[in-house]
Order: sequence, then structure tokens, then C-alpha cells
Amino acid sequence: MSDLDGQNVRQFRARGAGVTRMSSASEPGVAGETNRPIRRLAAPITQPFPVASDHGQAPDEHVDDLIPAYALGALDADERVAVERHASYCPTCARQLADMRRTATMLPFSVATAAPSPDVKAALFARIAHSTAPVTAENAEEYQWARPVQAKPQVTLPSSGTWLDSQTFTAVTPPAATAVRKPRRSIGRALGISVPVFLTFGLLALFVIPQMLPSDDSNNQDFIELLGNTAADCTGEGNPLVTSTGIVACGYVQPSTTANLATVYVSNLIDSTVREGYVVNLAEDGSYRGIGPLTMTGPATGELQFSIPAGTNANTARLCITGADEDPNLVCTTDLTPAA
Amino acid sequence: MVPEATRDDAGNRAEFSDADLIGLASQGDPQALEVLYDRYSRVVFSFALRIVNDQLIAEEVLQEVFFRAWQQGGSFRASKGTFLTWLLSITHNMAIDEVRKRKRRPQRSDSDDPDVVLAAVADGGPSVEDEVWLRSLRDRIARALDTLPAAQREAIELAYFRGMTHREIAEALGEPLGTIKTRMRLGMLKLRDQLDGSEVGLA
Repeated sequence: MSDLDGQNVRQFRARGAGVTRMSSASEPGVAGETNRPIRRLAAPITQPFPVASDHGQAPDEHVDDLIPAYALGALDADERVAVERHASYCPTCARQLADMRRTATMLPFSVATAAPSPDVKAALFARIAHSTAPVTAENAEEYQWARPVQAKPQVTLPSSGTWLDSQTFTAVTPPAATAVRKPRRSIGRALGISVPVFLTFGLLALFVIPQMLPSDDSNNQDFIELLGNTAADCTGEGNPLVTSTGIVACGYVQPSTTANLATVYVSNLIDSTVREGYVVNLAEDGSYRGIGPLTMTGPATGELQFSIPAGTNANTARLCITGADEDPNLVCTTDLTPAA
Repeated sequence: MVPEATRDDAGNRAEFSDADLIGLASQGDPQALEVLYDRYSRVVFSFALRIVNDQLIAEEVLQEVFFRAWQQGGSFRASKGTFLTWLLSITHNMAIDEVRKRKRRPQRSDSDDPDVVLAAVADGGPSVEDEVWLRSLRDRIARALDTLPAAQREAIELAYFRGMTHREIAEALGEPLGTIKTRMRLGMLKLRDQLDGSEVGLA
């Protein structure tokens, strides 16, 4: 069977490298920053993802030999993305993946149990007593999900129609903060809708999976500090979002003025549970596809330029940021109802 | 998620299912979380300890895992698996993250042998009913692992409990990457076949 360490991954990396260079050259906002440390190459898609009805018709090589390692958490980020991408359109591999993951979930039970110190329980519940309670339907209105966008010039599109149909983009500066302030979003809607980040401009909106976590740090300073993210103020960095593990971050999407490309910028990405960086997924009509790993441009910032798949509709498409070692099946596929 | 039990009738939480309890916890009920803690803190702690090989760090992971459950219990979906597998998945990620962080820092002088560390931890005794099914499950998995060739067991161990990638394992063992992949694959398939039907069927 195929060896994805070979041909496929080399091609994968080569594509990513090419787009990264293109990104630096074509995006004024990125030019001059090419010396920043790049931990991981971007690997945006250049073609719409193929859809195969069966294992045997998948257009690229199979990943069978990587699936057990995937389930054990033993793959590098690029390989994980390749496996997830392949499994997204190969039912046979998706079944194998689920099978191996189920087997891996048994492994923790091979460990003989021992008791922790009682101090841990005391410390945990003392911490809980002093923390912000989980967001519930009852207190959701206390939290504000959207914050104003300021500072960075953005590029916008006509406010109606499928934005991909248009090749004429206009650079604009966002209106004053108060003018773009969005209404509070109830937790019920947030659960079903995800968190829109860029709806103000009628563009492709960043979304994250439903999480009952507020983004207003004035209400939740304790929470944010406890999670190690003390910089959740998104002023000038786009709109707040919540990653799949619940960490507040900031992000926005900027389409290119010259091609059918867009770049997603994310900052304040500090999450101790994410082992190998972040992955961007495009979700639309209840399904998702992997776009590529977020290129980390700093310890807590990342970006990814990607080709916008033909037919993508700004009114329904969302981007989902997940940890690279997370299974998008678990974190991206639920509740993809488009924002109203 | 709307649990069947609500806070108003949550008198005897100890009898509630895990799914109901995490539902209550996500509504801000710390007593529901406490029941879950009493049920599973030993499993979480022992699993973390097996990975990080340091009692204090394992206890930090334990606290963090349950704090995450408190804050993010609303994201748990029973349709995606059991609460316990969800909890252990968080534990695995956090513990492996600790291991990888330590790889990048000067090492502490811990024992390298997880069994030594485990033995040094005071065992509070089998005080909960769950111990029965846990012990049964553990025996079954241990028997399944024992049937694997040592090399396959080692590959799985290094990946899952030590947080090593298959490349790192190949390098550490001086074996071709393909060999390591094959060992993982054969070992996991054999485990799957032997453990079929053993899934953790908790509510």
C-alpha cells in the first residue's frame, strides 16, 4: 500500500511552499514580514476537493498505513492533515479511522489505577468556586459574543450574491467601532450557529464550533487568565472567536484583490492542549473539508492563504479552526447551520 | 445539550448517568461535577501519571482536565462517544503536551520507569463500585496487550503513552520507518480483534 511519507507528502509540502511564497509577494499586508519564523508551511487547496464514492476511486494514494499511527497520536501535523483530508472523501478509510480510534480509546484502561492526593479535589473545587460559571441559557445575555473591528484596512465585496462570482474587490477601512458593533447573540443561537466573525462585511465568516464560552474578557478575565491567554482583547486584530477547545482567539478573513484567494489571520492562539498547531477547515452545507495547516507566524499567531473553492457561498461558508491533532469529525461537523 | 435531570430534581446525583451529570455541571452545578470527579478522578490521574511519570504533574493535569470539563461540558455530545472517553481524550492531549513541553526543557530527575512511579503513589484502595468493571476491563486489555509481539507492543506504548511520533520511534529504535508503521498497524489490528465488544459502555 502507499507510503504517504513519500510522494504525497512531498507534493503536499511543495504546494504549501509555493503558496507561502506567493502570499508574501502578493499581499501588501504580509510583505516585509517574510523573515518571521515560519513553523509550518501552508498547504492551501488549489482545486476543489475530489469526491470519491469508494475507497477504490479515491484520486490520491491511500493512507491505510498511517491510520493506526493517527489513532495513536503518532503522526506529524502534515500527515495528520493528509489522513483527515483523505478520510473526508474515502468512506473505507473513514471507517478504518473510526475503528482504530475506538481501539485506541481502550488503551487508557490498561493502566492500574492509583489515587491522587485529596488536595487536588480541594484545589479544583476552590478554583471552580472562584471561576466564572459555565455559560448557560440563563446567563447567556450577560455575555457579548462580538466585539468591534478596528484599525486594519479590510477588503470587502458586494454585499449580496455569491462573493466568489465577483473579481472586483474594493479596499475599505472598517467603519468606526460603534458602527459595526453587533448585537448580543444568545447562547441558543450561538450553539446552533457558531460564532460569526466577519458577517459585518458580508464575507466568508470565520466560525468555530459551538462552545459556551464568552469572548468578553471584561466578564471573564479570570477564565482567560486561567487558560493562559491574557491577550483576548481583539482590538485591531479582527473579531473574537473561540477555538475548538474553547480558547478565545481573534481572527478575520481578507480576500485577495487579484485572485480567487483569501487569507485568514488568527491571533491570540494560545492553547496548551493543541499539540501540533492548528488546522483550517472550510465548512459549508453540513460538510467540511480541510484547507490546510495554519502557518504559525509567531507563538500565538497564524495565517493561511488559500484558494477559495469554486461555488463557495459567503452566506453559508465558514472557517473552522481546530487543533491539528483533533479530529474534525468530532469538532467541525456538528451545528453547521449558516448564520442568519 | 439538555439533560433529562435538572438541577431542581438533582437530589441524588450519585445515581445519575454521566451524561446527565455533565449536563448539570455545564449548567453550573458543581455537585454534579463532584460526582463525576469521585467516579473518574482515579482513572484520569492514573492515565496521566502513566504518561507524564510524575505525580505532581499528573495531579496538575487531573485538576486541569476536570476544570475543562466544568467550563466546556456543554460541548460534550453523547452521540460522539461516552463521557469517560471524552474525558480521557482531554487527559491524553494534556498529558502528552506536558511530556513534549518537558522534552524541550531540561529534564527533572524522575524515575524513568512508570511502574516505579505508580508503585510509589499511595493507592486509596478499591473504594468505588466502578473498580469492578475497571479491573475487569483492565485485565482484558492487559491480556490482549500480552498477546502482542514485544516489538508491536513497544511501538504502541512509545506512541500512545510516551507521545513519540512514528519517526521519533524509528529513530530511537534504529529501525526503518516502514517497520514501525507495520508494527503499529499489526499491533492495533490485533488489539482491535481481541477487544471487539469491549468498548466502554458507560452512559
